[in-house]
Amino acid sequence: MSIFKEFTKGFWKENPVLVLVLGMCPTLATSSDAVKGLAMGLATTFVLMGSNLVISVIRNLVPGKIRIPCYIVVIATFVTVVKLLMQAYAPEAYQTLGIFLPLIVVNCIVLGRAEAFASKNGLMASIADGLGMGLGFTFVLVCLGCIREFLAAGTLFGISMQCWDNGFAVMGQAPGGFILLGLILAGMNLLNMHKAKKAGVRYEPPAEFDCRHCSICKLSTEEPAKTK
Amino acid sequence: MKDMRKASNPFYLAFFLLVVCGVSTLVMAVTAVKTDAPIKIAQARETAESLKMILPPFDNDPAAEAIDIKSPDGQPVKLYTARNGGLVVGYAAEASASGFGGKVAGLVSFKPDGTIDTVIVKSGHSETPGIGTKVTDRSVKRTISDVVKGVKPDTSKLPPNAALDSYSGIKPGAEKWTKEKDGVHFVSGATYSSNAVCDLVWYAATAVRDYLAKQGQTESGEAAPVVQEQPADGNASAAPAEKKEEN
Repeated sequence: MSIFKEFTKGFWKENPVLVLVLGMCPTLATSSDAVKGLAMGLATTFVLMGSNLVISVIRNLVPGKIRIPCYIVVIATFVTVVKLLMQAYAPEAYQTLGIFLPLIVVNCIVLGRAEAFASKNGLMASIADGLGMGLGFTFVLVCLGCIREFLAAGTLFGISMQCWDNGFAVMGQAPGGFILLGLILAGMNLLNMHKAKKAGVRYEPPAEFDCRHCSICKLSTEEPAKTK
Repeated sequence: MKDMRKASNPFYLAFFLLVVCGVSTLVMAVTAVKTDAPIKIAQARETAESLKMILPPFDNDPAAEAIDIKSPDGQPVKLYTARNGGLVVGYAAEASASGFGGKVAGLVSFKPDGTIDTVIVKSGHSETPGIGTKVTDRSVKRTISDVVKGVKPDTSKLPPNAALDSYSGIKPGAEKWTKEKDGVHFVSGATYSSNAVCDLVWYAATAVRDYLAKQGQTESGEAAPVVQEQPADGNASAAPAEKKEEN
């Protein structure tokens, strides 16, 4: 797969929220408005890129048994760096995100990409993957944020659209986010099925996204396969 | 040596993890040192900007001479004193109370006599958007037609908020304010946020009232030396004597 393909797959084919369905907690909590979603997405993108870069570099040095703690330490370091930088140079965004900024450490997307991609692939491919996945995440957060903000308060990026002031308040909350995300996922499945039907095949979700293929669960003595 | 590198050797694993942690600690320490000054500047700027908005013009640095006082309920309150040409032109007190989504912190400005002037709630709270924020936020409303027409938002004065503005001009009485008695605004559906705002304003106002009462006692003692010279003198001479006895 070329570097460019590694980059673009994060937007649609393997989108972390819409296809892999990872990182639901920050997705629902920070997509209540578009600005918040954008800030969260960009912070996560930085962490993803940095952790993918470092993990790709050290992937052949880390003993298999302690790889998960090592990855978490790397990710936590990047999150702390982002937190301090935002506190210093973007204090408003830092305050809006609140507790969800340090919680990027436990975002499944970041550890998921470290384990599933960066620990098995080269430097450039890992950076492209991190950047693509991060921007894909940002894209979904901003889209969800726009829809939820518009339905709940009639604004986009804090600017009133002059339709209503006090609309569909549940959309501003986590349950509204769940409902909207469910509708979007259903729409995506419908689209994929329609495409498959046109091509004359039966639609099945890609087998590699199945939970049983996730190597994080295999914390036995065996080392993970270094190359695919 | 070959044994040491073996991936299953627990000492090697511990050593490796130690190295990883050491390197990341170093990275974090360097970032923390480098960002220390900018973070302090950013925080100071936020406080200074809010103080400028809620207090009359002043020429001192209230943040530099802020003091920590306590409300009668034991809540910590930070007091800023604004002076212009040496004269006190107003006070601002920072207090916090718990709302629906955690702590709500606010700044309350007072006239020199302790009357509430303006209330603002600091950003960074997590009250429900669209419900609790109706009580807490003074956000500038920009509309799409303004953006299209190129109308700039008016930043010279604070945007109004009915709930926060309902505290302006009142003084703390013997009991906490209620809607019926004092006409302060509680928004239905946002009871927790309304209570949080009421609580924090109450903490700030009662703390300032007590502080002013104490200040008034000492100041009147200094300001009227002719009448109170004798007792003041007596107290002054009595105090060192007591101390000597203790020693």
